[in-house]
Amino acid sequence: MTLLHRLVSVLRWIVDRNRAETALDDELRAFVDMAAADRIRDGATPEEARRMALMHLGGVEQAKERVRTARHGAWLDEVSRDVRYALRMCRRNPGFSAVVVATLAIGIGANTAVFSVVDAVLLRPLTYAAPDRLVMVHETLPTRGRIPVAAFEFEEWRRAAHSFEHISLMAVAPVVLTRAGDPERLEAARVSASLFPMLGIEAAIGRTFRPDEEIVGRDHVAVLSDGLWRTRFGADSSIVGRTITLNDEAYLVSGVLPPRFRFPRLEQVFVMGISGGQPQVWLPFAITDADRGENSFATIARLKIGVSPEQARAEATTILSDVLKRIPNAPQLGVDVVPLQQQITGASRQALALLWAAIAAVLVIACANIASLMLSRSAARGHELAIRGALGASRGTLLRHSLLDSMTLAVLGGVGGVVLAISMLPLLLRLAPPTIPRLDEVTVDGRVLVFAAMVTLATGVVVGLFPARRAARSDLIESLRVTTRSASLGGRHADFRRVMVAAQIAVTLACLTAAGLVIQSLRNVLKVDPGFTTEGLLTVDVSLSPGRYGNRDARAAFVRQALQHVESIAGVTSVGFVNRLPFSGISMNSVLATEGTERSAILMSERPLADVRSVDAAYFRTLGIPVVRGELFEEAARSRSVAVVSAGMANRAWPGESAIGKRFRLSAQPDQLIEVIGVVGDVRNMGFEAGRSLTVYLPYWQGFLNATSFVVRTGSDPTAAASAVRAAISVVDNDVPIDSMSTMRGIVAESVEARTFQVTLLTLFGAIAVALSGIGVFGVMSYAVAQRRKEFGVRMALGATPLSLQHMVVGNAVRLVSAGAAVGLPLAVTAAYFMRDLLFDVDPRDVRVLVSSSAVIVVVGLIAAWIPAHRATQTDPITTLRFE
Amino acid sequence: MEKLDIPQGTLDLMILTILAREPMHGYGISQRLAVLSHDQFRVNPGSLFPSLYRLEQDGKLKAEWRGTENNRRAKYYRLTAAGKRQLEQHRERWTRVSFAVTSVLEGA
Repeated sequence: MTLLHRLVSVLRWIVDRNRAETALDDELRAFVDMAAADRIRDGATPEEARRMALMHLGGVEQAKERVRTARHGAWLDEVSRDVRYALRMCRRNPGFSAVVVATLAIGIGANTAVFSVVDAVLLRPLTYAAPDRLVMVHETLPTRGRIPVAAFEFEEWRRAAHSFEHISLMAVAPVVLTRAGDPERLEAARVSASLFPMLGIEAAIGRTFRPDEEIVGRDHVAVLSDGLWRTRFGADSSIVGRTITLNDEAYLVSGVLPPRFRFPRLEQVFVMGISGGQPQVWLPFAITDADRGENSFATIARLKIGVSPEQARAEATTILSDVLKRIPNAPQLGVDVVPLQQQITGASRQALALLWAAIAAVLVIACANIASLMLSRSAARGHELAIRGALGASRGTLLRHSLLDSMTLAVLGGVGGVVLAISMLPLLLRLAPPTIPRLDEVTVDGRVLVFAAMVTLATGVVVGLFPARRAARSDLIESLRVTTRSASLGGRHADFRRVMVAAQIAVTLACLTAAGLVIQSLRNVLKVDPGFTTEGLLTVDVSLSPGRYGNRDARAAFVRQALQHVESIAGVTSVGFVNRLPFSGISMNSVLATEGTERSAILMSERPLADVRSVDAAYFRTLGIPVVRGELFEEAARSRSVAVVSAGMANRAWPGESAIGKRFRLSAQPDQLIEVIGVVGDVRNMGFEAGRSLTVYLPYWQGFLNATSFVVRTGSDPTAAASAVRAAISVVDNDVPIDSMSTMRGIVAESVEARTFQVTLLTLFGAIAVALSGIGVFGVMSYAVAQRRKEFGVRMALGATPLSLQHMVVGNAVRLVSAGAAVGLPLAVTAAYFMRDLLFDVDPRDVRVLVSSSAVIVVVGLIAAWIPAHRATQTDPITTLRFE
Repeated sequence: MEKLDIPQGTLDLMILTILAREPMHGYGISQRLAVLSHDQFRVNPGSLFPSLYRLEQDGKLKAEWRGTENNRRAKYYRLTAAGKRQLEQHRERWTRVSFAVTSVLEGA
C-alpha cells in the first residue's frame, strides 16, 4: 500500500512537476503572508513585517530546495541534472566528443551487426516446436564417417525404436515444373508425412500430407512453399485442390506452407554430396524398393522427452545391428545421432565465432584508445575537479559525474552504433556466403538491441572507470597548488596510457595474425591445382524431366543433339558434356570391385569408392584434362561397355599394373562388367580442399544421366556466347529449362566464397585495429613529447642534434611497440590455435604470418611515432626555456 | 533564552500530534509548535515543509487548499488513518524512550 502510494506520488511528481512547483510556491507565499499579518498585528509596518517573515522562512529558494530534496523521487531530479551536466561537458568539447562517439559508434555498430548474425545462426533456437529435441540420425562407416541413410534402415527404426516421438525420412528430389509459364527447375524434397507435425508446422492454406499418401500410387500430392506460391502462382489460394505438372506428371496441390516456415538448405541437412537450396515443393516420400537399398537419404527425428541423443543412438545401433546380422557380408554400419541445430550450424560455428572474437577485439582496442583519451582529459580537468571538490562536491558526486560523462558518450555511440548496424547489415549479408545457414533470419530485433545496450553500458563503464577513479582519488590540495597546465603531468597516468597502448598492440597483433592466417589459407587453396583449366569456360545446367526423358536413350539423344547445336555456334572452340560439373558440390559415388574380386569377402568399406561421372570424349579436351594413357570414348563403338578412369583411381584399383584393358563392376550397376580404355589426369571434383577424386568416367550413352551439364570453351569472353547457347538448346527442346549459366571461373570463385568472406571481414577488422593502435601510439607519443618540451629545449641548448632527439622519441616508441608485440605473440599463437580447423595447409604458428603481422605493427608504430618525433626536433630552445 | 533544536526524529511526531486535534496549515503548525513548547522550540520552515511533504507522500497526511479564518487561501493538512496509526506507534515509543532516559538520569 505504502509502496504503491509512494510510487504514485513519485510518478505524479514527475508528470505533474510544474503544478507541484506552483503549489509549493503558493504554500510558501501563504506562509509568508500569514507570518507578516501576525507581525502587523503586533505593530510592525508592512515592509518590516514582510522582511521579518522572510527571515523567519530562512530564504524561499533554500526552503524550496530542501523540500525538493526531501521528497521521494528526488534522485530522479539529480540524475537528470547529472545527465544535463554530462551533455554540457560533451558540448563544451565537441571535437573530442565527436571522435569518441564516432569511434564507439563504429565499434558498437560492428559488434551489433556481427552479433545479429551470430545470434540468428548459432544462438537462437530453431523456429520449430521443441527444437531442442530435434535430431538427425545418420549411419556411419568406420572408414568414411557419416553416410546418408537407406530407407530400409529408416523403416526398421520407425518400426522398432522407442526413443523417437516422430521420425521422418527425407530425399532431395529436384523437379521440373511445366505448363505454368516457363519451365523451371524447382528445389524439392520428398518427406515422410510426419515431418510437418514433427516440426509443429501446419499449412497456411489446405493441408500437409496424410500418412496414406506415403503409399506408391497415392503420392502424387504436393505442398508448396510460400515463396513459390507467391512467385509462380500469384498467391492464388484456389491453387489448392488443383493439379500442377511436375516432371511431366500431374500432382494435386494439397496445401501451401506459412510464410514464417523456414527449412535449412538441403545441403546443410545431408551429410554428403548434395547441393540443394531451400525446398520450394514438398512431395510425400512413398518408399520404393530402390530406396530401401540406397544410402542417400536424411533422417530427422524428434526425441521423446527425457531421451538423450546418446540413448537414441544406442537404441538405433542395436536395431541396426540386429538387421545386419541377417545379411551376409554386411558392412559395419554404425549410427550417429546429432542435434539438428548442431547439424545445421556446425560448419559455420567456428568461422562465425572467429569473426565475433575479432570484432570484439576491435572494440576492446577502441575502448583502450578512448579510455586513455578520457584520462588525459580528466587530467586536464583536474583543476576544475579540485575546485568542485573544495566547494563541497563529494567524492561520490565527482565519481558519478565522471562515470556519467563517459556513459553519456557511450550511449550516444551506442545509438549511433545501432543505426550503423541496421544500415551495415544488408551489406554484411550480401557478402556472406549462402553456405551460412539461417541468414534469412538475421534481423536487428529485441535480443540484438539488448546486446547492443549491454555492450554500450560495459563500454561506458570500462572507458570511464580509470578517469573516474582518478577524479575520486585526486588530492585537492595538490591539484589546487599546481597550475592547470602542468596538472596533466603525472607519472602514473602516463604509465597507464603506455600500458593501454601496449595492450592494444598485443590485441592488434592477434587480429592481424588471424587475418594473415586466413589470407594465407585462401592463397594456399587457390594455389591448389584443380586438375583442369578454369578460364574461358561457360557452364550450362539444364533439367530433363523424367516424364519426357524417362529413359537413358531419350536423354542421351537430347545430349547428342544439344552438343551438335552448341558446337556449331561461331566462337565456340569445343563443347563437352558431364552429368555433374566439378566443384558443383555433388558426386555420385559407387563402390568399385575389380574383376575377379567381386565375390571375395572384401568388406565394402575397403573397396575404392568411385566418383562416377558420365561424360563425352570432348569433356576432357574442353576442360584441359590430359589423357595419360590409352584412348577416349568413340561413339562408333557404342555397344562396348567401357570407362576412362583417373590416374589416382587406376593406381588405387590396380596398383603397380597398367589399368588399360582391366575390367571392373560398380555397385550401382553390378551386372555390367566395364573395361578401362583410358587413364586421364586427376581432378578435384569436390573442390580445392578435397583430395583428388578417384573418378570413373562412363560414356554418357552408358552412364547415369541424372543431371545434365555442358561445358563450352570459347575463344574470348565465355559469357558472350551465353545467349547463343541458350538459343541452341531451346532449338533442341523448348520445354527444357536452363537452370543456370555460369562461368567455370565463377563456380570456382563461389567454392571459396566462405573463405573470401572471412578474409574480407578479418582484413577489414585487422585494418581498423591497426589504425586504432596507430592512433593510440600517436596519442601517447605526442603527449610525451609535449610533456618533455622543456627537457628537449635544454638538451638542444646543450648541443643535442635534432636527429638524436628524433632517435630518442622513436626509440621510446619502438620499446613500447615491442613490449606490446612481446605480449601479443603468445596471444596471437593462442588465437591461431583456436582457429586451426579453419586453416588450409597453414601451421597455426606459421612464422611468416607471425613475422609479417609483427612487421606491420612495428611499421605502423614507427610511422605513428615519427610525427611527434619530428615535432620534438622543431623545438626552439629559446622559446621553450623562456616560456616556463 | 536560546531556542532549543528539535531533537532528531521528533518533528514528525509533533506534527502528527498537532494535526491529530484539527487540520492545520504550515504556518499554523509552526505557531502551535511554538506555543505548545512554551516557545522553547522554534521550527524553521526549511525543516517543517520537507517533513510535511514527505509525510504527505507517505500517505500519513492528506492536504487540501481551503480558506482561512482571515479569508486567505492555505494548504491544510489532516491526518489519514495511516497517519493516526503512525502517531500511536511513535507516541508509545517516545513515551518509553523518555521514561527510560528520565530513569537513567534520575538513577545517576
